[in-house]
Amino acid sequence: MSESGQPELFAPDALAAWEASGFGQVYAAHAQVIYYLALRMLGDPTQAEDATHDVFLKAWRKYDEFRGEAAVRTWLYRIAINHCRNLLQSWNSRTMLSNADEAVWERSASPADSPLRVLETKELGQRIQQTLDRLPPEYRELLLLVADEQLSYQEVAELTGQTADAIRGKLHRARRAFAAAFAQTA
Amino acid sequence: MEPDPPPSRLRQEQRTEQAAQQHTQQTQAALEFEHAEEVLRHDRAQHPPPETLATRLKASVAATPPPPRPWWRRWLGR
Repeated sequence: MSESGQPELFAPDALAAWEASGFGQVYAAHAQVIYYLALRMLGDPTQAEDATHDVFLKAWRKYDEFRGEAAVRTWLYRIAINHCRNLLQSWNSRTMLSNADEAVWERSASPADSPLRVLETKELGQRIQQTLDRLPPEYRELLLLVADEQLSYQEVAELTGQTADAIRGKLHRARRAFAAAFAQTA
Repeated sequence: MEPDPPPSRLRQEQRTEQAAQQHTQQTQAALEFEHAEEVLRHDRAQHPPPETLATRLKASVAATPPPPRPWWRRWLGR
């Protein structure tokens, strides 16, 4: 209890540790990209908020063991991707495209080399979600990671368990698939 | 043939038309993106994490026991 008789929201030790460890700065620097990854992987703002909370809480519990072999952001991404994949697997309620469907995207007539033109509307976010939902999970994760300017191709490759060359090749196909699916949502 | 509207009414109609055009331009600004990643970056900027999330996370941290020291730190006496 505080001096005013009101219960304190945070334990002082935990708050001090939060500040002293620099974890508050870690959260401030990376929360947006982790939240956005969760939002577009899970497709639901409430679930994304819960997932982001859980990802940073896991990171906090392991923060003492983090020794900086990888960038903090890459480390957080790894936790977030695994967390969201596990959630999606356990829900088993979203329609996933099979590898056979992947081939269809690669054959589809694609406006990939022409710019994507859209009108700024409230529905843009919905169209993007619909587009991502139609992509194979591998392409969806790849595009979400490459969209982060702070990640190198090498880091994306490590996060997805591939080589940087494979990433470059798949990125081209993922862009084509996105453009084709996006056009269908108009 | 219909007579020309009086100047004041004409100006009023022009102003209304200009305002409507500006409104349309503001609400339906055409965006152009080179690649999917640019679309996603734009979308990301529109979707920041909820402000309540940091508070909620701090509360969870406060309720979480501090992580144990790793074995190598205990071994090194750090």
